[in-house]
Amino acid sequence: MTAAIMIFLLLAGGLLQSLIPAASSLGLSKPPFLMAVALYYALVHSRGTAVIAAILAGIIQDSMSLLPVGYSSLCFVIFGAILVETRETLFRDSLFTVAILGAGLGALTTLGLYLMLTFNSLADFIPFWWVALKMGGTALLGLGAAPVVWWSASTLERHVGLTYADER
Amino acid sequence: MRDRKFVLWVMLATFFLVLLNLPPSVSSALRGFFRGSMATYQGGVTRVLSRVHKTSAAVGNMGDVIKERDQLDKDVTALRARLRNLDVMTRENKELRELLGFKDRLGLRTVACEVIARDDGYGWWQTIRLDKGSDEGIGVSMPVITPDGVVGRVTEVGAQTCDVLLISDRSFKASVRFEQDGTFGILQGGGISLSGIHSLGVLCTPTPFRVDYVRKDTEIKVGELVMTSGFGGVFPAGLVVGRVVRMSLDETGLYQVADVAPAADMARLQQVLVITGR
Repeated sequence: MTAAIMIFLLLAGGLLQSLIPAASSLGLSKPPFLMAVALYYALVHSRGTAVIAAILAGIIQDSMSLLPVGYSSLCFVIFGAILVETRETLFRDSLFTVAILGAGLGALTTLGLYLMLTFNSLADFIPFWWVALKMGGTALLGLGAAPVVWWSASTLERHVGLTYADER
Repeated sequence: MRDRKFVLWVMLATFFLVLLNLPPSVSSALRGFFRGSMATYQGGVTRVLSRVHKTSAAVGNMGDVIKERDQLDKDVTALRARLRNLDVMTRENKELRELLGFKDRLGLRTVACEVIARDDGYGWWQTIRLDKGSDEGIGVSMPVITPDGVVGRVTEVGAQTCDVLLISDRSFKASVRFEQDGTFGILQGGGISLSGIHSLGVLCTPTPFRVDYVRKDTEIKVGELVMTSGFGGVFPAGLVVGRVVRMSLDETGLYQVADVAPAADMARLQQVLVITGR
């Protein structure tokens, strides 16, 4: 059941992320729904499930863009692993915490992707002011997207009888 | 326990080493699989949203509908009479077009596609996704146009979808020439700007494109058409790109720079043509 819900959340997140238009005033940022799904699994589920969710979310995000396959997965897995290790110290059941993490990870993921693109000379056409704008935009949108995904995913799992205790 | 954790990290690192260095064919297949899985839903949701938008617009204007209906009744009567004349004119027009061999002169094989998604998944590039792919003969680097002008070129192709990099993207470059005297230049997308129209509906800001390396000794007029030059092997010559809105000298003072407004309405792309052959 965990796998079915994960696939549903990833598909829905990917679909929403691809359909919601980017706002040019936010550096063409998109609401990071896929990152929010990875964040949810990193906060709530076991290490293995969190890694699988992060890899799949990243591959779907890269497949929908011109980013080389694996870039987003690497970012999601690194940030996810840090979260898994530190989550016991966080008030992870609070939507406020999730919102702040969504904003922070949104900005950090954008920066991480930019660094990887730059390292491979794929971002020569992108000025840094635009990346800074995009980081701010993704943080703002992550602030909204992460709690929505967290609430939807936890409600869905509760309805099908999955509790955190099963995974923690 | 610590050993097990170490092994897991090594496995994960190996996985990423492989994933990040996949051969292009495998990477493309993987990308195509996920893109294909999403395409059906993307197309469906786009169509549903489009209908919802039209319906809500109609409901919102209900007050004016009754007045409009009365007016339309009158108009219909008048239009029916004009339609009879138009039928005759349409036939004549078709015959004249055939006579001129318009289609042969254009000499391009095209595939009509519908836009099913806009912007890439994370907003790094300005792209659109079309509802047709390699099954319809679409391949990488094929030009994408509308009747108004050039839209972009195909960058990724799946069996049933393809991604198009828009000419408004900062990374887009193409060789162009000016209509009057055929002076050449290099067109670059304007990317985004902090000014201009910003709304969720406007996906590509109307920032003019820039044509660099225009010879200093030529006189380019504002309003002049900019067309593809045919060099570079992607775009056939003579496709309209836009019109000049401003001319200036570049930073070095050795060349002129032209700001160009796009001919195609980049913010409202719904149907496009992919040129699949000549």
